[in-house]
Amino acid sequence: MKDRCRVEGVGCRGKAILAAFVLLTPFTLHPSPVFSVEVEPTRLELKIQPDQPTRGELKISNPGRQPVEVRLSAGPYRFLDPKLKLPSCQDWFRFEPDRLTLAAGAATSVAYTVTPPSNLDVDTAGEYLGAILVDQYPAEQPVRPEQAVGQTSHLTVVPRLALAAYLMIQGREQVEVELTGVRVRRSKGQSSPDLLRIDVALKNNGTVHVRPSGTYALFDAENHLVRGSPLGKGMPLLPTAGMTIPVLLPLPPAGRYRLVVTIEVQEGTVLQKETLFEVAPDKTVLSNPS
Amino acid sequence: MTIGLSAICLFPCPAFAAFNLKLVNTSFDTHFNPPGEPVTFQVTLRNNETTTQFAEVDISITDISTGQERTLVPVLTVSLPAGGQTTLTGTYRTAFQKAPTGASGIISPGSYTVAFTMFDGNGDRTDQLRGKFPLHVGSETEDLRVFPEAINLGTLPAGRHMFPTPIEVRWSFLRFNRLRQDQPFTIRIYTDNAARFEGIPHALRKASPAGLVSLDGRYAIPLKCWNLNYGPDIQETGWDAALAGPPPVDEDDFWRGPPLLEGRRNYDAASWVRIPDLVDMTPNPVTWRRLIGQDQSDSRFATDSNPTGDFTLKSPFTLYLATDAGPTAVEGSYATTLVVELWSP
Repeated sequence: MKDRCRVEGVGCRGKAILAAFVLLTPFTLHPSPVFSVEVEPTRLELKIQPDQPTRGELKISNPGRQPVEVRLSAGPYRFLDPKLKLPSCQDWFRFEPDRLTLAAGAATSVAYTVTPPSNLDVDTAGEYLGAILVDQYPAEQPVRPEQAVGQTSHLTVVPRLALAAYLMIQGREQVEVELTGVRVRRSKGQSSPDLLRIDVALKNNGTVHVRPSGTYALFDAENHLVRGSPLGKGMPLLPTAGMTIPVLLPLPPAGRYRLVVTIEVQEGTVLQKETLFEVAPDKTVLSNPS
Repeated sequence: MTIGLSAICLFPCPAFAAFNLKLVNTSFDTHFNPPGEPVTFQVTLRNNETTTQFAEVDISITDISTGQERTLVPVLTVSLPAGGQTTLTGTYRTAFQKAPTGASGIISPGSYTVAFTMFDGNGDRTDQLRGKFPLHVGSETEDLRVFPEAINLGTLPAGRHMFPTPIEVRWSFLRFNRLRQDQPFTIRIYTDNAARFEGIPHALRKASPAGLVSLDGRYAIPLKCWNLNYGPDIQETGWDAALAGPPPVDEDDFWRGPPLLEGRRNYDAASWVRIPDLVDMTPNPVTWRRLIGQDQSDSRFATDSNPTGDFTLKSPFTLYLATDAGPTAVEGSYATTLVVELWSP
């Protein structure tokens, strides 16, 4: 009974709020956002000399209809497994200028300089991670917090583009990825009752990140291709990190199968692993059947 | 054959014909830049009959935003011997021009679902497979806009209060890796108050600077936000957020989380969620407040029914803010910088 009243109550309130929305529409509808910036490139993957600065440019444009103030700064890398101890290059960046105003439709270049510290030799890391933060402020803010009068409160919303930065140290980059395992098992999915799950496990034993890609091919006992598809991820495989690439496909009919997984670590470096498994009539999956 | 034809005449036609022609596998890359990039589809089919069979495979694409369906021409055809298996390849091209409404081999910018339908020599449908991932055609883009960029909140009222002005977030993101798969991205929200917030002098524990910070830097009032991704679940609560908008802030079920046994609450399922400060977050995405995003590697969002880990909302989406000025809140002027950040590794 309580639930019924509750649902009815919510329904009434829903109508009330809907009515309020309709009434408020003239006040809440507003024109499209009028400012934004675009930045090229959207990611920095650089090989740098450890003993000298590296220079480059970011192209920044304002396709909006209003001038925009752009502020650049460096920050920590945004995504990192907390267990990974990878060094940061946050303090190595300098931007010239680090603050500029772009007129509507204008474009400009911002020079950046990456200066590794002089004591870089004490470390043996092959790669340092960071982020370039590009903040967008309206060129003319209606009210700045310091101008607030009385007890009014203010909020400034800042769109921020965070560009990932991967700086590899020349001479220290070492690419070494291990295909540690291919596991095949039956999986019960949410929407499909029976699925075959393939987990491809990779470990990066090198000193720089890679973006592995590859394919899997599933053959039946007569060596017919049952299914095959590309596999891989947009996420980088960072140094010392592991990655599992899952593949879900419909459980094939009972029988013996051969699975071949091929991973391209980088151009020209290929790893391959083959595994046998059997799908029993009761739909259990047996790895490496005799 | 006569018996077969009689059966067709006497009984209602089945959805699929009796011929044992099966689609074994399909594959296609999912991201392309117009104009001119060739889009190649591969279809593997098998004839399980005892005689040679003619097979036609139609590749149909349906525009996700308009619902318009088109069959790409030329269609793929083959005469397949008994027990044979073959792979057909169809290549079509991308173009900036608007595709004609009828059959055509041009794929114009947009997002499409893909279906592969096979017909036998009688024109009866024998099998169909659907593409696991949508097909995206468009220029690479990464764009984020927010409106309004400055909000006068007036005098903060006591208690919970939702600000009626929504923040509109426009975004576009089309980037792909060398496998032509979606590049993961996220739009997260946080305040950046660490430089301004000092906290109460001699306090035993420094409070989080998340939320609105008083101009003297001593006090903070927490900020919460809501967007359509946060629910609530209409089946559990009866609140249709898609129709009615943000749920009321004065109901604990929405503000603090739905009730559990023994007076507890499922705080993780609250519709109004706290906006953290930059200093509260770690590189671990669990500590982030994500508005939208897409990440195949995040098991929280990627499932077998949502393989791309898609928790995006159509652009523009709206975001609502609310404050909770509790009994310890101190009157005065408050301000904050709210960062809406687009990040992709």
